[in-house]
Amino acid sequence: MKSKTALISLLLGILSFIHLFGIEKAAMAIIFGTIALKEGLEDKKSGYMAKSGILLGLLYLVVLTVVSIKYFPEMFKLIENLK
Amino acid sequence: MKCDDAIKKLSAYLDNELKDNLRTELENHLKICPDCSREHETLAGNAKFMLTLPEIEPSPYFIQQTLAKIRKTERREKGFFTWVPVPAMAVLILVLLSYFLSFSIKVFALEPESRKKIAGHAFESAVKGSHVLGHVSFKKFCKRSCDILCECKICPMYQNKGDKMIR
Repeated sequence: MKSKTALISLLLGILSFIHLFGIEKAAMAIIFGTIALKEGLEDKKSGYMAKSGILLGLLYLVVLTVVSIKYFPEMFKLIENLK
Repeated sequence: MKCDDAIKKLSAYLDNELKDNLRTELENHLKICPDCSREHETLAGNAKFMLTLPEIEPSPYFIQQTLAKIRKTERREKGFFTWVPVPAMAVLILVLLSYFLSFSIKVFALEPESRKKIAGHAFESAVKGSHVLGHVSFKKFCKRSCDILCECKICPMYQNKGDKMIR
């Protein structure tokens, strides 16, 4: 692949049409961070950046999952009451 | 053959590594293109000059030292950060999507009036915290939304009358 930034541009353009509470951004952060680490990085700073991106993406997904697990049962109860 | 392709193949041509059809194509191109022909002469001249230079004996352990340097620069990460994040992400996304999908299916199965109540309840939960950020901006936001569904019950602009807020 000649230009990785061109590929990233294309992927982000496609993702502009998808809105899933930021899940798509977290997924991209994790995937690109993992790819960067597997390819091998020349300096420590890049490694820290990739790891930070992965951790932030995972943290967001965990927070969103915890909030969903906490609040969705209430919403489901509300739906059952409205039936 | 375009000039970009011809320039890229010149090195392989000088080393006799090109296939016959590509070789013929390149030779035909060199006959008609003065720039590529000049580039070919320069490269061929450099190659001939290199052959006239004396051979240098590498230092002892040259190969081992070079490989060690390569291994040092290639910081391939192994362990947690290469194997855990992607499967963890897949599991979390599956859990989230299953919640959203089941919620959407149940909501769409409801009557429109009931769906409106759900929307009001969800909106109320979402904006409850926002009034601490700015009293004025909260009022503006809430008023705009309450034009659509006046059931937020938290906007200080509106009077409370039973279950519904009226202006």
